[in-house]
Amino acid sequence: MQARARALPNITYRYRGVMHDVGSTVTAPPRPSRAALTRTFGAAQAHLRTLSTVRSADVERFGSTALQLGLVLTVIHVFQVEQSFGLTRILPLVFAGFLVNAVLPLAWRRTFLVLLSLGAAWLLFGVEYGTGLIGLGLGLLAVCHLPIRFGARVALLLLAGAVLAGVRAEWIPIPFGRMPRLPTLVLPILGSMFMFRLVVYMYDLRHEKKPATMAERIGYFFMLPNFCFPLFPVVDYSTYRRTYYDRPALDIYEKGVQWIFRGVAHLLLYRIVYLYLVPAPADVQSLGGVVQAMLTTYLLYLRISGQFHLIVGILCLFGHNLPETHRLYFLASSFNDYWRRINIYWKDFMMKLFYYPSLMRARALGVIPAMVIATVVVFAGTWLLHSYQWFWMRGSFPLRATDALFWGILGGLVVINSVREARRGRARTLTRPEVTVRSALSLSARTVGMFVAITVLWSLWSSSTVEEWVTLVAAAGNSGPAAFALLAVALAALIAIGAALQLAGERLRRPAPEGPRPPRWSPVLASAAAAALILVGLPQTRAWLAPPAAGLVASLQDDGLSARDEEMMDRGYYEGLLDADRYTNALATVQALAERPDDWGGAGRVSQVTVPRNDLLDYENRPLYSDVVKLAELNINEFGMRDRAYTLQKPPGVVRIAFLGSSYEAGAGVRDDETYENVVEDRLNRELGEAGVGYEILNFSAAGYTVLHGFLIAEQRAWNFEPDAVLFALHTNEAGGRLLSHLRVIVQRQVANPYPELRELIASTGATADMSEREIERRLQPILPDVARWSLSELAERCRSRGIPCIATFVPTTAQAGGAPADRVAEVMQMAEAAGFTTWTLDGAYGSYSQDQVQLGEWDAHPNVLGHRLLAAGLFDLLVKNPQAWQPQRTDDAAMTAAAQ
Amino acid sequence: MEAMNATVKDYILTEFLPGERPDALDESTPLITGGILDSIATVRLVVFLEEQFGVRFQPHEMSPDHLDSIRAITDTVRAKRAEHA
Repeated sequence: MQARARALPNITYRYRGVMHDVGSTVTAPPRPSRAALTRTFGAAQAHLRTLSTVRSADVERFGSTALQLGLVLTVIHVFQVEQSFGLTRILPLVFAGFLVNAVLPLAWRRTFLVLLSLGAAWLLFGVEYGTGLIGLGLGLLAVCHLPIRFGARVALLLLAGAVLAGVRAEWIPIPFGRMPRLPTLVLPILGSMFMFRLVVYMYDLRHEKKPATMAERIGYFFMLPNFCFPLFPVVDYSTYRRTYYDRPALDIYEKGVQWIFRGVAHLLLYRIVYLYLVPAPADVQSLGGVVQAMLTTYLLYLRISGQFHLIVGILCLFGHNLPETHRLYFLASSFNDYWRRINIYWKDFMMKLFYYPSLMRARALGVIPAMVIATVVVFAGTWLLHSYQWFWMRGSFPLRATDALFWGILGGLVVINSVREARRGRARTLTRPEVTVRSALSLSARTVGMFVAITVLWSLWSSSTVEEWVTLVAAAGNSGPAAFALLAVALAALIAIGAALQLAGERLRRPAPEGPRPPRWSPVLASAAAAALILVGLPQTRAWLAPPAAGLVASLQDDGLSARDEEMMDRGYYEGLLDADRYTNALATVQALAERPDDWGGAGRVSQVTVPRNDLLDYENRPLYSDVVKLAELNINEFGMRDRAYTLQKPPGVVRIAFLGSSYEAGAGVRDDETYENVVEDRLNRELGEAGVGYEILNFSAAGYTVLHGFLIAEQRAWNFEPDAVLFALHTNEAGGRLLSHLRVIVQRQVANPYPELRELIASTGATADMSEREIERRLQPILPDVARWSLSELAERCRSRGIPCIATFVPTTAQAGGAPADRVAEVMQMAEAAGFTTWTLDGAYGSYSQDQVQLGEWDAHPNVLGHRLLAAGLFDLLVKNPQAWQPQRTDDAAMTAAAQ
Repeated sequence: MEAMNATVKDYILTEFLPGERPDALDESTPLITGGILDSIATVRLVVFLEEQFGVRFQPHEMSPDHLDSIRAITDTVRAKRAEHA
């Protein structure tokens, strides 16, 4: 059977110095036959002969590209770039695939890429889920090609989409109970592949004149990087087909490597912004704070642009010469310009599917009215489709006022700008226009103005409610005119700098020299930067850096949460990140949560473990509660301790320690006898106990407890048990978000406060119950250190009055497994010392173990059994080495001395 | 063919590239992907083509496949005229 030769016009490519005609090598549709196989074999032989004629200059160029790719992929590996999405796991596939693809005959490359991509699915999702993902995708693709009417196929696709949406929202149970993680693990990725591309595909299929090969069709949906990224650029089908090796192969490969470099740069910058620059809402107290909050919120978009650069860069490595997804969007000079620069693929998708069809329908009204209608349709559609996109990732369909406002305002401004452009025209040139002082200042002023406008709009979009955004903006009112004047001066300086840079660029511009192409320095500089990053990222060389620099590099190598989000996770609110509508963190949690066992359950105030109280304590452990939480049996004794049964009255000969702390100490996710408190108690009794002498550590900790809780629970519970010592476990965030939430609840509930000093502290902030949550927290934020100090001082004072020692022990979080920040440890220890505590530290207790090894899972950072054992070993050592600190009556005990040795 | 090319080129130079040297715009200069034709300009061009050459464009034809260069534009118009001939 003869395969039909399909000549693609005007498409030639140069591979290793030899020009190839794509049309002469691609046949469609492929039909396996002896003749076809013979031709394929012959083509392969011819290809091998071609390879032997490759110019050495091209070999060098390819080698240089491969070397740069190897370097940038190593940077991704060393810095764990997008590790949470699995990118680091497919790096070997990308690199090896690139090398193999480059030497394969063109006709085989699409099929090779499809096989490589399917391999990535199995690698990342395992055989069962990977096969499920591929099967569902192929099923949807098959529906597109059923031999029935086009309308019927669309109807079937809608039906299939509705069923999958039902499964994603968990309204429809998974058939046969197989693959329980299908909704959270597979469907977000399947959604990212098909939710928009299927629409474009069907649209183009209807008008398709040149039939595509099977590999082309499958490859369009199953793109190699897509298995790592739930948020994926909406690649246009006709562009995907049109741009395949439409330029010399080496040019495309070099572009791909360059974009991967750019993507990595964006993502590392994002990490700096996310980890170090984003302020907590309650820290925003002035104009400076407002500017910082708005600016950093906008800058967080670097993660999306970074991901998109990486994605398209990887596709370029396999010949897909796709256009850029973002074009210097921070430098947009008008609203239309902004719309054209940011997420260009989305803009093209909306133009194709919504703008032009709407405009053509309405053009009888005149070009400008039709354009206005089409633009309104585009922005209304963008608003709804963003929620649709979130549905596949999160399983819910948010329709928020801030979304509507953002898209409504942006759409309105684009309409106004468009009408203006349609009436007055827009300056377009084929050559670069001359830069004058006036034009440079004008462009710079427009660019700075647009940046400010978009930053403000973006902060509105990122706020959960309009009220939250208004509270944020209102904080600027706390600043005087001088701060506003300073901001105006800073903006004017920015305009001047922008203009100066344009003029300097104009002077440096020289016509391209005649003759051979001069060497380009950007690949050399990028490679040098990559090599330097690899060097500083290696543990061996990092040790040579100054501690602050080493700390910065180490934090950038962790694809984890910021200290603030880590704290939220410790509080058992990790799930809440998904509801925080923060574009990037929500994404990062999708896969981590997907890994979480379905019967994981939760701990803390939101679960059944605790009961609310109508006093300052707010909540406590539910007495005699018994359940399996986070897969571990959890029992609360009759006195509300996550601990063994004890008597109220201290037995004779027993040394009792009242132990105060939070979820780490309560042992979230480990069994009762595995909490580090119980491990220490058992060991004390086993190794130091003797006839008539025993040890009891009474655990008054509860999930989410703060230093204030510690003082209050001691007041209300601990003293009744006649402890001989108090041991308070402190973390680096004691004057942080948990305490802030606790104080806010106290204000909101207006509970009786019997402590005059605490009452005055809270009253001094002016926070009242009728204020918004954010406003209350904003006002309370400054007194957090005072409240923490007061709580510790009061507790120490109570201990002194009872004649018992009190010890504060710093306990590192699992995220601090490599070492806690010295300044933050010192801060909390100094606070405890000043209050009158003896201070100990367990920093370094996790030894050489990494966070992954000592935490419950990617989705929960509480210590696992190993983590508790390590903490227990550290605490036991401290107890036996410092008996005088907690056990004055046994300082001369021989057993103690022996154990200390 | 030449006349159609010249007509389209004149229109683009006059409407969207005033003051530009005519020789800077050739038959293969990328118009949409090169940023010369944005959505507004594309619509105006299509309205012009429809009126000038008596053809009718469909929404899916307002794409780089059909309008990215003077050559692509004239190919599309010729194909449309041939269809209706």
